[in-house]
Formats: sequence, structure tokens, C-alpha cells
Amino acid sequence: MTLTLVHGAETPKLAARSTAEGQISVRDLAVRHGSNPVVFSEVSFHIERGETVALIGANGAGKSTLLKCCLGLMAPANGEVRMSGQPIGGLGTGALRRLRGTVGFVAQKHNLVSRLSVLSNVLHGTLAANPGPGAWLHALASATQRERAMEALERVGLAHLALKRADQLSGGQSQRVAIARALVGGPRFIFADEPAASLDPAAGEEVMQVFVRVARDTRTTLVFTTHNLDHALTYAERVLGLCERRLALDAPANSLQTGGLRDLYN
Amino acid sequence: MTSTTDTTARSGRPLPPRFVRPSISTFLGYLVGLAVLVWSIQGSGWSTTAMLDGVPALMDFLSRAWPPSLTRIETLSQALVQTFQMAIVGTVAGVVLSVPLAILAARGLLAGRIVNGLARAVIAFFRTVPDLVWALIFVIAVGLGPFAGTLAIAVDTAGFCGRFFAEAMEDTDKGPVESLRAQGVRRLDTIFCAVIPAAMPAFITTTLFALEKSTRSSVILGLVGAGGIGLELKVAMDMFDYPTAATVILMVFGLVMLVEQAGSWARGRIIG
Ligand SMILES: Nc1ncnc2c1ncn2[C@@H]1O[C@H](COP(=O)(O)OP(=O)(O)O)[C@@H](O)[C@H]1O
Ligand SMILES: [Mg+2]
Repeated sequence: MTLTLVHGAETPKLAARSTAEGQISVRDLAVRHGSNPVVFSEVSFHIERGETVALIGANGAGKSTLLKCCLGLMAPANGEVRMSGQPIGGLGTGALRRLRGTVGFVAQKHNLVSRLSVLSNVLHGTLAANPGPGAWLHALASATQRERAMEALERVGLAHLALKRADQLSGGQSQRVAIARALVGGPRFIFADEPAASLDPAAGEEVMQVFVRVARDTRTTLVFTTHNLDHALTYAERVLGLCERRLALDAPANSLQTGGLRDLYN
Repeated sequence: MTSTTDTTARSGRPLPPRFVRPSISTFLGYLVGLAVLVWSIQGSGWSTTAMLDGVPALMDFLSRAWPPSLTRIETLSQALVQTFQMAIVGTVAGVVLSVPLAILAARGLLAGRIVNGLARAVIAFFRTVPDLVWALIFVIAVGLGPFAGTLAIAVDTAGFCGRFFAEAMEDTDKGPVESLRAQGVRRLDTIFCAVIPAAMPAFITTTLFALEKSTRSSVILGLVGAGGIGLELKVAMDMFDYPTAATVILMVFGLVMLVEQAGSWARGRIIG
């Protein structure tokens, strides 16, 4: 398998802390936007390395907000988030950026740079570890970098489209390229915020399958949000549910049924 | 009566009024505008009689300028080529200068509010001081000749492109930047790998406009001794050598037309 190369970004510093590597610990978390009332509070959970977790809840329940907190893009009003054992509240800008460098992020929109090639877009995923012109465009990249990007594209099954312009892809293909961009840096975590929401059902299934396969192959912790309860139950091992400003659900996926989950939306 | 009312011939239904009575403030606005126009006509020395009296003198100039003289065509051609070279180098230098300025000036891109404001002020200063004034200043700094004109064009272009480049970058989709920032990519990298590629068509069309603008201004800069064919025009006029002046005017017309045509062709290719 291509596992070694995609994992090549592993830094010695991270390996030294390997016990907590890839874990997410959230304790008594409360968040508010500005002076608005809290989005949620008293949220606590622990995710092990390599776990696949779905985060569900109604629109505005705070799913995206929770992901942002884990990335240190928002400061919590209360409580603590630890990523790979590090409390992210205490990190400086540089350390926070290095931590984010261990995360692959996929949003609902693929957010590719439309005028650039697929390969260049994937290379952008290596910029956190290797800043500078070498990863701006594939034409400027080193052979190793290009090879890593091609490995990541192979994982999502799109190596044959490497030189196509990103705006010539279908929605499902674009989202798979976004996954390749999230993978190429060899992340410890993959965060996906409604990754299948703007895709047709078939493309959505395909994208979810790619996520789960890649996360399992590389023992990467995967957290995705979704409004598709089938996706949550099929592709996640564990489901977290936000409802009425609390973490109302934290259970293994195989103990749940879609019917029961609908209560979260009332 | 607030309005005139029409009725359609066929249905007899009233149509919407053609005019609506303006509010007091709109009416006052019109009045002020008219007063400013009348006042300015006085100041500008606008005179229809002077215009009519000038026609014979103009005819005299045209008849003495025709046919254009080809005796100095070689020197003039060299001057024209130099004019175009000044426009090209000045435009390129100006574009190179404007990119960092635009990055600092664009809101929400790299710098904070204060730096945004400072960069905007510099760009506005470059743009609002006329190129002829820049040429006068650079003639003092680097002496008479094309280099002074080239620098004047560069500063003028930086002012023009800086503004439009900054706006083009502000208008790009922020999604790619946000996704990359979430993965720990530095702001500066996101600018070069995501923002500038997205703004590139706007950058190129703006640059082509700047080249057209520079070609026109490089002609004028010669009048203050900053190189190019403008000096030939001034000398010919001062010596009443109207046939040579006519040649220069036609050559300038040809060059500017050529650059504009090439520019709009290239823009069509890029946007299409
Ligand atoms: N930037 C923001 N400023 C103010 N309120 C926000 C902001 N982003 C989200 N919110 C509010 O926070 C709540 C949670 O939003 P979000 O995390 O986007 O929910 P979800 O992703 O579950 O749909 C919503 O009520 C939303 O209106
Ligand atoms: Mg959301």
C-alpha cells in the first residue's frame, strides 16, 4: 500500500508524544459568538486515535462551531479542548498553526482554487509543513512533493485527472480532490464539515466511502458532521448529537437507529 | 398637477405617469448643479464667437500642415519606438511595485486596518498626482531623458494597478483561503497559492489597460523633456514646422490605436 508515503510527514516531535497522538479531549466546553447566548455548554467527550465519529444536530446546533473550537479558530467561553494531548487554549500562534498542520480539513464546498490544476490544489495541502513557492504550483514543486500529491490523488481514485483544471471537475470529483488535499500532509485528524451535503446521493456515498477507507488505512481520527442520518450510522463508529445547547447523544453507531435520531431535530 | 396622465387607446386604462414631481431636496440639487455650470462657463472663458473666429486659423494650420512631412521620419520613428519602450518598462515596473502595495492595501487579506489605510493612502497619492507632475519631479531627480519618463509611468501605473489589484483580491472567493488556514497554512502562502491565481484574469486585464494608458501618457511626457516623441512634437510646433507636427500626431494616433486594438484582442482571449 501507499501508506508510508502519505504518512511521510510524521515529525519526530509528534512521535515522541505518541500516547495522546490523534486524540481529541473536550471537557466542559461552552462557546458563544460575541455577546450572543452560548451556542452550547457542558460539552465533554473523548475521541481515540483512529476513531470515526459523526457529529449531528439541527441547523445552528453548533456543529461547525465545535469543529472551529477544536482547530483553535474560536476561543471557548468555558472549558478546554485538547488535541493530541495539547490544551489548545494555551498555544501561541506558531504552535497553534503547527497543530492545525496535523489536521486535514474538508468543508461543504470543496474550496478548490478553480483556475489551478488538480495537482496544484492537492500540493497546497503540504504548505503547512513546507511553506513557500514550492507548493504554490505543481510546476514549481520538487519531485518528492509531486509524488506525495500523486499518492494522495491515487487514494481518492483521481490520479488520472492530475493535470485537469479544478473547475472542470464534477461536484463529487472536486470533493474527492479536497479530500486528497486534506490527506497529502499526512494528518492525524480529518475534520469534514457536511462534506456530502452539496452532492447528489451517489457522489455523496462515494465521498463518504473514500473518507472512511482513508481514515482506516492511515489510522487517522475522522470527525464529520452531517444531516444525513444514514451516513452517520453507516460510516461512523460513534455518533455525537448536539441538541438544545447540550451534547444530547454520545453512542456507538451500531446501537442506534435513524428513527431514534430524529428526536434530536425537534 | 403632479403628473401628466396617458390612457392607452385600446383599453382606456391609465398608464403610469411619465414624470413624478421631484422632492424639494432633489429640486434644490438640480438648481445647484445648474448654478455651478453657469459659474464654470464664465470661469472657463467659453466663447462661441472665439470658437468661430478660430476656425480660419485652424484651417490655416491644417493647410500648412498638409501634407505631413516625411523628411525626419527616421528620427521620429526612433522616438516613437522609444516612447513605446518607455510605456512597456514603466508599466512592468509599476505592476511589480503595485502587487506588494495591493496585498497590503486589500482588506482582510494580510495586514490590519492601519496598514491597509497607509497602503491605500500611498496608492491614492501615486494615482492622484498627475503623471506630468511625476515627470517634472523625476527630471529633477534623474535628469532629462526617457528614464525620468519611465519612472513617472511606473509610479502612475502603480497607483492605477494598486487600486484595482487590491479590489480584485478582495473580491475573490474566501473559501479556499479558509479551508487552507484551517489546515495551518500561513496567510502569505494562501495569498500566493489561492488569492492571486483567482484574481489573475483581473490582474491581466488591468495590466493591459495600464499599458494603453501608459502609451498615451508616454507621448505627453516628452513635453517636459522626459523622453519620447512628445519632445519632437513640441519642437516642431515651436518652430512652426507644422508638416512634421502632423506626422508626429498621426504616428501617435497609429501607435495608440495599435496598442488599444491589441489590448482588447488579448482581453477577449483571456476572458473568453
Ligand atoms: N460568526 C458568527 N457570529 C455569530 N453567530 C454565529 C457565527 N457563526 C455561527 N453563529 C451562530 O452559532 C450557532 C451555531 O452555528 P453553527 O456552528 O454554524 O451551526 P451548525 O454548523 O450546527 O449548523 C448558530 O445559532 C449561528 O447562528
Ligand atoms: Mg455548519
